[in-house]
Amino acid sequence: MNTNSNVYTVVYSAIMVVVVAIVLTVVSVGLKPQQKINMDNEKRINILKCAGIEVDESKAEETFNKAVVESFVVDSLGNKTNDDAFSIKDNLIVFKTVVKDGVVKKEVKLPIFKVENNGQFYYVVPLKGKGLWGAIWGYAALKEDFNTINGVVFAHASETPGLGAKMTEDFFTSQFVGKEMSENGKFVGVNVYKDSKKTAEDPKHGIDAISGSTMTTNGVKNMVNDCLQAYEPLKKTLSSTSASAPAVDNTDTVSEPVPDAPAADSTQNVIK
Amino acid sequence: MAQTNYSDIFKNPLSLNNPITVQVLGICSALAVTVELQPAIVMAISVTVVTAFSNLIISLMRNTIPSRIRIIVQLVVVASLVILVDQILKAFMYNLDKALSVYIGLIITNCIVMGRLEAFALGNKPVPALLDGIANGAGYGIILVIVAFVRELLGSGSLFGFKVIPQALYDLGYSNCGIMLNPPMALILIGIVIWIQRSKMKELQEK
Repeated sequence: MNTNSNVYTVVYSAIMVVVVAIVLTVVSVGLKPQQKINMDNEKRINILKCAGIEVDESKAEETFNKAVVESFVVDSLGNKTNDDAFSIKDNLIVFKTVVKDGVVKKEVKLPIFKVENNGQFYYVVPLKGKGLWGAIWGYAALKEDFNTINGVVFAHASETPGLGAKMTEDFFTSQFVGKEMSENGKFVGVNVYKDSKKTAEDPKHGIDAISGSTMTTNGVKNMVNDCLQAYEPLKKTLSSTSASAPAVDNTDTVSEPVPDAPAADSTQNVIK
Repeated sequence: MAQTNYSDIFKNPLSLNNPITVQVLGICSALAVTVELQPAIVMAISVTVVTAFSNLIISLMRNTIPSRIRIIVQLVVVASLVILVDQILKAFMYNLDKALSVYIGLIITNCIVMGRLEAFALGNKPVPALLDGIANGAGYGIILVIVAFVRELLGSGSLFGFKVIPQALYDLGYSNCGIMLNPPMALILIGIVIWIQRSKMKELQEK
């Protein structure tokens, strides 16, 4: 047979592509469940990690179920929705634009995990943002005051190895510990400085940038600030419930993030 | 090649014709994944699997492949095998897959794989081609493991993640050699391996 004829070449490549496609599809579908378990466990490990609980994947699910006292999704007004915090679209913050009665509104769904570690409660929230080359994401754990960062975990899709990719390393993430989000009732978030002297002058919000990775560091800053600011309206409800819990009827208020606090205009405030 | 000599096919890539130290192929991943032993070994196994099976498959197909699209055919075969390896690692060795990250995907561009397909699999029977693939993967793996051994031992004082350098030594003032963890040191180590090999093997010395 003439293996150099045009017909042969075309038929050959067509068959090859179909065969390869079938093989890859079968393998991919077959391994999906196992891969999903791994990814879910990684999610659990990361959520626990920023609340200060170190665990390996064999015990991730068990520990997670024990440590997470409560998880829920709230909208911008602080009302609980029916979504499951863990499985909601990669359990990251979901922003959606809805047009209602001719008014364009941005709808947010904010998942929160309340984690208990040694009698302390932490609110773990997901983060999502843009790095230099692609998506960056992570988790931040806020202390009971819903203001101080207890720990963060970052991940990235394709930041530059050796530069931006360092955003996941301890020397960078540990800087976020103890940073305060608001001051005098105003959201400040974190500030990134190239000069470590300036960082030292701003102990409550200052973060040292990663050398050679300005874009990635700014991406991280924006991610942390934007995402945590989206949760800002919940602060009053969440931190006041724990503070006022003994005074009020315990059973009802402790974990209810709703009641009266966030004003109606918070929809506009949340996302610019 | 009148008479296939199996032992030569197998031995050459391990020493005289080593893909890394003699042909200087596949250096990129050798620099990247040799900080610790475990990922280095998984990478070595992955590359061996890919070279072995792509050699075998291409060798089986060699008489049917239209010569005008042979590079494309080779790429499709290699790419599918790499995706398979990646999927399997994701399912069963998730943490290692994360540690190796893009380098698994980059096996596709590893010159060793394409090099062996062009140079050997296209012109040889399946069994020698399979052997050649395994041997070249192993030749690559040996260098990876040697470099990773030195880098992990001197760079972080551990092997396979276990501390092997006793605390007493640290108390005496010994400290880990941080530069070992950086890619340039891997290049220097590979250079040293090449130097040792050339000084031992007369055949490799240029006049």
